[in-house]
Amino acid sequence: MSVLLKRATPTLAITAPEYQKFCEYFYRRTGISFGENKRYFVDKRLIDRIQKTGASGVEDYFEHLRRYDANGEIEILINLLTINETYFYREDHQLDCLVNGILPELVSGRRKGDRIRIWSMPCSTGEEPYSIAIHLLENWPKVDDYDIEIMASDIDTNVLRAAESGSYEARSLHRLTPDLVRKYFVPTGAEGYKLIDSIRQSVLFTKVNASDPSEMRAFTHIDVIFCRNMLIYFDDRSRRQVVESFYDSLSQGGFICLGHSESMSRISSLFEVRKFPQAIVYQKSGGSR
Amino acid sequence: MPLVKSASDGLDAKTETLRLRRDQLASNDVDERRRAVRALSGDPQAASALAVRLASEAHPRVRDAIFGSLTDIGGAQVAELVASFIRSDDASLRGGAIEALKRLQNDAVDVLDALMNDPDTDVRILAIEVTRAWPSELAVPRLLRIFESEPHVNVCAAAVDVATEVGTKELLGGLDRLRARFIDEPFLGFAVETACERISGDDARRI
Amino acid sequence: MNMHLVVPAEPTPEDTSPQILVVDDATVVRLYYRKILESEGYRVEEAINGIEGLEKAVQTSFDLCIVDVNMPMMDGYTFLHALRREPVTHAVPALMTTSEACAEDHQTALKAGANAYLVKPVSRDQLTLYVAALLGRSVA
Repeated sequence: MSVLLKRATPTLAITAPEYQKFCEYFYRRTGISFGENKRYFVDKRLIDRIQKTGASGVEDYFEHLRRYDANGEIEILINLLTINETYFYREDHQLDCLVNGILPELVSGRRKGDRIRIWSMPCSTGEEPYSIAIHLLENWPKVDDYDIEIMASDIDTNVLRAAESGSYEARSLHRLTPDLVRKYFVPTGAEGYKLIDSIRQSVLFTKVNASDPSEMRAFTHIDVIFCRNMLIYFDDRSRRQVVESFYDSLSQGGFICLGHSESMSRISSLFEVRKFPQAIVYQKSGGSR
Repeated sequence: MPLVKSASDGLDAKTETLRLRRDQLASNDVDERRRAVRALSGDPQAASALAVRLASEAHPRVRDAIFGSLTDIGGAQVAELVASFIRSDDASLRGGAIEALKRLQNDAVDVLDALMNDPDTDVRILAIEVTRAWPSELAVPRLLRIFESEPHVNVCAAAVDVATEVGTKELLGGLDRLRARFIDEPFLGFAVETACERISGDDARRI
Repeated sequence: MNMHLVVPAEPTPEDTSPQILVVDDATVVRLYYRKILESEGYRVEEAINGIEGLEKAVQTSFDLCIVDVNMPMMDGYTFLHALRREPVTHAVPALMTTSEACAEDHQTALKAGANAYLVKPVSRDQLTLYVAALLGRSVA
């Protein structure tokens, strides 16, 4: 009695040179490095994609991956190889940078009451823009001296709706001290928390498609953009376009913060690299016309 | 005859728009220049005007937009126009040209073949970089030609670097012969060895 | 020559060997320098263009940068200018490499802030001698 095998292909294994070749390519494309200690993690996902794309083997898959026409494969792979989660005070060294580096520089030429516009894009379920609000209230002495606008956008209306509701599970709050939780959240049921109204109302949420220049053009004179862990999932062309839209949205001297494994080095030379003690950010310098 | 009349009206309107947009290319306002550039992106007739503008455009945002519009127009003529910027003294124009030539893919093959035979080694090196974005069947024959006959060691090295990523087994013989040609260049020997390992994908040590 | 997967050594608390940043867009060049420099006991990090190089240089205290002239996004000269402008990297020794030997290039490299200049392909001896010399100077 013959048993019909689900997969007739031989077990795939990635050789060391194949792994190196892939890592070198991936590093060139994304700036992300994998060492020998990530063999299992990477191999497993590569093999998964080789099988799912119907490639005949590693070599065939690699050629498919390399194809210049946007076939979405590198983005799928990036998604599989990176971990993206959101929670309050994620990468809060950038929030420190905002308070201790970016804002002091921005307001040096401004008067009291002047507007400061901060844009969280993408905002996902709101942890990032709300973190900005809380962190500013807690740590910036001049928070009341200026008219701070926090805008938050995402392409996904479901996450926007969740963000506006301001309801979170305990794990989203794991980086907040108990004091902060007590101060800014109200417990709801067994594992839930709801953000207090004043914080919820301090953020303006809008649906925006970052790849749509006409939608992006509505945002102007922005002082600081937080765009963390979005660009890495875009293809080269789209990524560049989005960054150019951001450039246009920013005021002269405005700043943009990317995620910790992201870099303008793979995207665009439009921005100036700025080193602060807490973080590296990018600045739109006052260019000549 | 309403049809003919409206057609010629359409043509006049189009020429008028093109002329207006070309004037705007020289505007003092960066945004106006950029919008004009983007508006010309579908228009093959605008290719020369865009290239001319690129030669004197200083603002990076507008330069990017011009390269974008040119690649949107596409075609062999655009490839020729873009390729001329490989020789620019301006690094960002050279870089923009390389990226644009990569995006132009098949349209740029003829002009790249010419550039790979250019008297200037820097031009040859930059041209080879473009092949990194090509499918293997396009890139491999060019790389092989370089391995067989390119005289300058750094140009060969650039080709070997591309081969580590793009190369197929058809290149292995050519790589061996390249190493023999430059037997006194240890760096090239190392580069060839690396490329052979990546291409063959074998765990076993290569002798 | 035997090629093993070259894995950057995890720095141990006692690891005080000099750290070198290699900025070059060619993979084989970076691998070659890494192989030589690690065999000399140095620690190596890589960057593929001037922007990445700058980002790494301002975050990690390097004892030396080796930077190529021709790179996409940000070339070697621009990288050096930025390196010299930035307070934390202002004094880091820099060795510049270039494909062509040209008197003009040499001057441009020095003006941009390079401490020394080598023409590619760089031999093992050249690399090790220049690196040792530049690191020796910085200690003084």
